[in-house]
Amino acid sequence: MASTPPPFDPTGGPPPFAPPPLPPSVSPVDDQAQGPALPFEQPGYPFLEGLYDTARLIITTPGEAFGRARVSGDLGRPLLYAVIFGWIGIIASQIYNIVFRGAMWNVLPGFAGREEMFLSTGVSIATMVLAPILVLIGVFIAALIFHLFLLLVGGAGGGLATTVKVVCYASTVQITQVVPFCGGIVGGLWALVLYIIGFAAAHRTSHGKAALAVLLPLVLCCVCIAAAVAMFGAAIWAAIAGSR
Amino acid sequence: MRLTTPSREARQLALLWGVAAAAAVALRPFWLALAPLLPACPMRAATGVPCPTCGTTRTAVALLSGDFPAALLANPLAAVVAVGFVVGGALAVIWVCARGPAPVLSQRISPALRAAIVAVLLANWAWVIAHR
Repeated sequence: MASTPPPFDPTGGPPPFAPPPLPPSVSPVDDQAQGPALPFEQPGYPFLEGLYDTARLIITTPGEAFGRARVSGDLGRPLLYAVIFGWIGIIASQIYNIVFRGAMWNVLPGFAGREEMFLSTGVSIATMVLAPILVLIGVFIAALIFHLFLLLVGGAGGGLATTVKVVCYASTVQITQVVPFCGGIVGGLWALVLYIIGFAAAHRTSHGKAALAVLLPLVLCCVCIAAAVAMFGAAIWAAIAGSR
Repeated sequence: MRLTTPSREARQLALLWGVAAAAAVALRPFWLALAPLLPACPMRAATGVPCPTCGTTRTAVALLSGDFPAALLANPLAAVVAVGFVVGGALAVIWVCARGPAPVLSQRISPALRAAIVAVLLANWAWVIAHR
């Protein structure tokens, strides 16, 4: 005997064929994740190969890569990924800071007498040693700021953990710090692009909202960074113009 | 507020918060050595108007020295957020150890809350400009 479904209750009762609730560990956008997990997150994938393949994916096809970044599961691997790339970037930048400090003062007129713009050798070495924990602090604070602005623009389709993952995998660009002088600036700009693509893919939001969430903190809270980059650019430009 | 059993990811987030907060306090000598080396705000140097984050370094140094009133004076929002960050990190670790329930947070915020957040940011900037 066929049973008839209960009638729909227009006063707010549950619909007759409501899907079962998701378990608490599963994000609502998890079922839309595209393809397998990133190589670095796949169990049994060789460590270094997974690191390399994930970095290659993030660099060459960021939209697909962030789409494959699982929005639920484990944060350990993404954080380890960020620490590895962040540590490499910090070591490279601090070595250049120590090696080229004197040369910069002599070559760039804008930096003459601006010793305070460079870290002392002791602080540089401490920064290299403490890099893993500094990366963790940086990832968490950056994710908090970006997530707040994603909420403000209505683009937070996933939770804070999703934002943390995007920030972790976007640290792939820290590898650009191995290029002296311009590596940091190039990496910074590239990271902004990766954040926008990553938030759009992982939070299932538009690129416009993702761009707003990434750029608003810079405009509102980090005007200093833009001005510092402009000063640095002006100093380099003055050096180039002076050498002609 | 609705509560639920926390996911593994939520517990990891709480632990990350705790580690970041503990490290931020434990690295006090490092921050105090780093602070004088940081350049002054270029926007303030160029225009005379402080940026919204001006005073954050002074706030951090004051907090690390235990001078909360001075921290509040330099940048009230940064001071409150920094204290909340450290206290929240400690509470998060306690919550993980106690296996407490997790609140179910909405991924959308109401227009009123959105307006309130923007108002707080602007009010804090006005304070920083007024007390430069």
